[in-house]
Amino acid sequence: MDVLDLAVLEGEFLSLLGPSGCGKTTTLNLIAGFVEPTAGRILIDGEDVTGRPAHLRGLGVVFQSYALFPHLSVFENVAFGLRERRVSSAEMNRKVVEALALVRLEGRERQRPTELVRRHAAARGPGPRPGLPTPRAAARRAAGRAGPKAP
Amino acid sequence: MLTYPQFQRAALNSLLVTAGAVALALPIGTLAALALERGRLRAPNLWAALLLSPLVVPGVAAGLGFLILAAAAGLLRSRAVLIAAHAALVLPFVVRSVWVSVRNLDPTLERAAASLGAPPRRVFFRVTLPLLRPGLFAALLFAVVVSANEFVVSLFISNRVTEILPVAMFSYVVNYTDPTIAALSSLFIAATFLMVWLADRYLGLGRVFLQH
Repeated sequence: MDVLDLAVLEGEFLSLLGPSGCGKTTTLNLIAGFVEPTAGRILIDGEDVTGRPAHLRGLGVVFQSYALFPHLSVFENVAFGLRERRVSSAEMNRKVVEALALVRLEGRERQRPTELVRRHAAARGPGPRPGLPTPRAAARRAAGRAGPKAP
Repeated sequence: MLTYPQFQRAALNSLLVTAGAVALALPIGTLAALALERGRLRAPNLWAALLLSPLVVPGVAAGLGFLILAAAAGLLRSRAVLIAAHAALVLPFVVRSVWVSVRNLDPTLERAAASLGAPPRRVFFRVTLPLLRPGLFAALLFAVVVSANEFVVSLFISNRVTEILPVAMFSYVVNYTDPTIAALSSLFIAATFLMVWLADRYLGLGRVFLQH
């Protein structure tokens, strides 16, 4: 990436568009602090954060590939950042429940993210040919194995 | 047969040496695997070759080398040499197993953890290490089996007091001829099989190999 001059205003909803490989993801990685720029500066609220490690930038990132932690439950995934901020457990519970309600995932707290994906895949997977498990049966079977698997 | 004092002592030695070697090789091998995959090493291939070299060095040569080294250091009477030698011998297995897991590790998961405010240390313990578990279990199993069955190198660097089980069995065969040793061999095989079976049962070894 060569010359980029980007200013985002407060409350602005901004989309970066461009052909693949043009540096959209690199730009976001630079802002988030996952990669360091070879030249130039990054300012947040007028403060220079160039060279500041990602965990001290306080930015929320939603990843293209989701990047959910496969070894943690849905609850623990959402609570990860709250734990790092040493939020009290009562407040953490409240915030996680709130966040999960927002995306209609109530009642799924103890499942693993892969479990939800597996059931989703089972619902879609099998075709309507006779003799093959119906989506419903496959989903039931997947649901039966709902407990977290050994590593 | 289990009452023979030399075998009891040898079994205890085996246990101590294997435990010590694994305790050394597991963290070293894990860090080495991470460095090989992630680190900016100047000559990664050279490092990899060096770490995996104990696999191809003939046991006799390695044994003689350790013997000379141990004699020079005046450590011939201690188990420390055996532990160090075993650690070096199992290291390739640890590095290879963990390396596979490191390769399969999605770096965006660690980035996600960092973006959520986790400093590098916490990222390592809360995300990286738990995700390396399959590789670590496989490494543990390989290391234990290889160390417990190691004979050639151990023969060079053990004495009557520090000798491990395979060496004790060998010296027994040299000195006596009776069926004891056949019984002990069977026990030894059974123990190894039991270990692999338990690992498969409780650690999901099959999954480690099938998924990677």
